[in-house]
Amino acid sequence: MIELNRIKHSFTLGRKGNERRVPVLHGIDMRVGKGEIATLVGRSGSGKSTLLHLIGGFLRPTEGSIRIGGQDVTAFTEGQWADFRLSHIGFVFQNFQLIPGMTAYENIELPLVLRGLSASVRRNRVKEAMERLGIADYADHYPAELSGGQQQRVGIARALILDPPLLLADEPTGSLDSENEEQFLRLLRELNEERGLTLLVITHDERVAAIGSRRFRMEDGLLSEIAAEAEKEEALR
Amino acid sequence: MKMADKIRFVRQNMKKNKSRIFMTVLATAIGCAFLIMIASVAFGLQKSFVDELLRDRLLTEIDLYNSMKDGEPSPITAEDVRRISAMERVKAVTTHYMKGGEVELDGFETTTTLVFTDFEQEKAANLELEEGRMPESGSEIVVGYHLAEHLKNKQGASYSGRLLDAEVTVTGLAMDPKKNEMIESGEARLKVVGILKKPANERNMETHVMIAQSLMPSFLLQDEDIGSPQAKAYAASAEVVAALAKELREQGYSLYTAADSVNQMETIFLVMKIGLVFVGTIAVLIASIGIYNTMTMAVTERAQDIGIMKAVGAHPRSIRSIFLIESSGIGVMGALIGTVIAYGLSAAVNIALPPIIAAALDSKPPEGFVFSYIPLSLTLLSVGISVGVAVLSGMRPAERAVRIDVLRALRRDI
Ligand SMILES: Nc1ncnc2c1ncn2[C@@H]1O[C@H](COP(=O)(O)OP(=O)(O)OP(=O)(O)O)[C@@H](O)[C@H]1O
Ligand SMILES: [Mg+2]
Repeated sequence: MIELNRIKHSFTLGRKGNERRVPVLHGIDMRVGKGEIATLVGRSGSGKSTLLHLIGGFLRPTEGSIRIGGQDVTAFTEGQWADFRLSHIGFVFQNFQLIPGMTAYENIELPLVLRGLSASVRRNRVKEAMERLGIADYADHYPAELSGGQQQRVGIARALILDPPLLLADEPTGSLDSENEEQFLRLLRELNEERGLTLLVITHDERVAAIGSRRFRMEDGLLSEIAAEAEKEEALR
Repeated sequence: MKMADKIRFVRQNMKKNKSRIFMTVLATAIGCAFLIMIASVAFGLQKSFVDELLRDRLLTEIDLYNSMKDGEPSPITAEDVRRISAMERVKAVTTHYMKGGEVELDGFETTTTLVFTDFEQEKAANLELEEGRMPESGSEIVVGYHLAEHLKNKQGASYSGRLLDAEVTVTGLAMDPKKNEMIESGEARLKVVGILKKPANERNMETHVMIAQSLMPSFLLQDEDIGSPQAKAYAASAEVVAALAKELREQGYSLYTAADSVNQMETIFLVMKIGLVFVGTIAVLIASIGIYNTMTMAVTERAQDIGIMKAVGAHPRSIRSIFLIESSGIGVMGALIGTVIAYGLSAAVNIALPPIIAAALDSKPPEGFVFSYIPLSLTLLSVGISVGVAVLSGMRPAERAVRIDVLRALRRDI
């Protein structure tokens, strides 16, 4: 599902004529198969979010190529990325990123509107998703009128409303208490089992990292697989 | 993304900032109203002066001089008359053959011009009579308004009796080629059944006698050549005179029509209209600064929303069109309100101005005078300019919205 080949990325800082390049990712290879749950841990500033933004098309890699779902997305235009994101990738953010001027219902409906679906189809799908996530009573609430856990569920509903094969999450439990975190993890596992949803979750939290069938660690812009290391150690013994 | 959903988004966004949108729409409306009003003066004056002129029936008249045959100008022939009569925009073609003559009634007499014409065509061309009727047989004639006062007896007194329905003796005069002096070339007793309308110009004296062309041979000497006729074509309406004149010119006729002078006036008014529309457009451009400002603020305020929408998968095209719809919406509302204001002002000016002019100049403005006139074309042009300018001024803000960086917007440091 995700295929990263020799990805390097550096940010450019400073004014024109006096630029400084800050390398963040130093050549990353990563393969995540369909239906796998991948988790990514690492120290702050190690480049985890940067990697996720490259996979989501918010940044362009300085070097290397990216394939998602078998498609080479490295040279996608803005428009191509927009269409691709809409149909292939759901995003869940630490601070939810709901549109404050829209109700929970409207936030969840947004991808369906962007896709150009008819109002009746939208109504059914949004209702179904809200019931599934236990937030049906909050349809008319604005984000500011929802708890953190409820907001996160709205965010998940929005991310999955168009049934994308891939879900990217950047510290999705960072703003949740342990009970909400528990519920959230259960939901992710269910979705993974039911729909074969592929997940890539960035986290600081060991309990979140533990759900991964593939567990990655980022260290100073280099990626390694934890499980693989453990197996290696076992093999050595 | 569906158009209906885009419009719904725009309406929601506009509702969130009603007062700002209202002020921007108001500025656009004032700009548009100013544009319409100032240009409507040119249209009004043109309507008052040119159209008033055009209503005059003289304007349907086209004087035909020559036709081109084999590259040579040659007189209008019966064949030409038949061809022109058959043309679509032609109402009538009159031909006047003329020669000198005399009229006598009960010892009163005068020299005159005998005009041989076709009364059917004259009728079609709306020849106007002061009194009486058009001739129905060859022995009936109509005469110029001033003929009666020109009929004098030996003592020099004018004829004071009734000329209408009187029988007069009409004599033709011609040059005898052998003796080189004027001789009578024919004579007939004819009944006056109509008096021609008094000429508009008081210094014009009309004393001629109009006789049916069927009588022409009896007023000519043998072998006398009366020459070529004076031919006039009459257009079906004043509106088509110019087009008809153009068509005839293309066919090689040389001619004159009063529409030619009207054309010059129309050119002047056209220049005036263009100038005033240009001035008015400046007002719309000033309003467009407001639209630009409003749209830029809207984009800045909504940067976070736009970032989220892009992250979810909004196409740049959708984002651009949402903002263009908003700015053109402002333009359309402004233009519509502006148009209503302009129509109201225009009506008010037309009611209020004539009494003021009358008081100030001590003379009445001419009948049917309008100071401000708004034809549909002006309304459409002004609405077009206002909406066009609104869309143009929304373009840069829309581009800014399209270029919003998702990551910066999500971090909220835009
Ligand atoms: N837009 C940017 N311009 C310049 N440098 C940046 C930019 N974004 C990130 N960086 C740098 O890239 C490095 C990696 O950042 P990134 O956000 O990927 O870290 P992270 O692993 O997600 O950290 P955290 O766990 O704190 O979220 C950091 O050193 C950061 O300073
Ligand atoms: Mg991060």
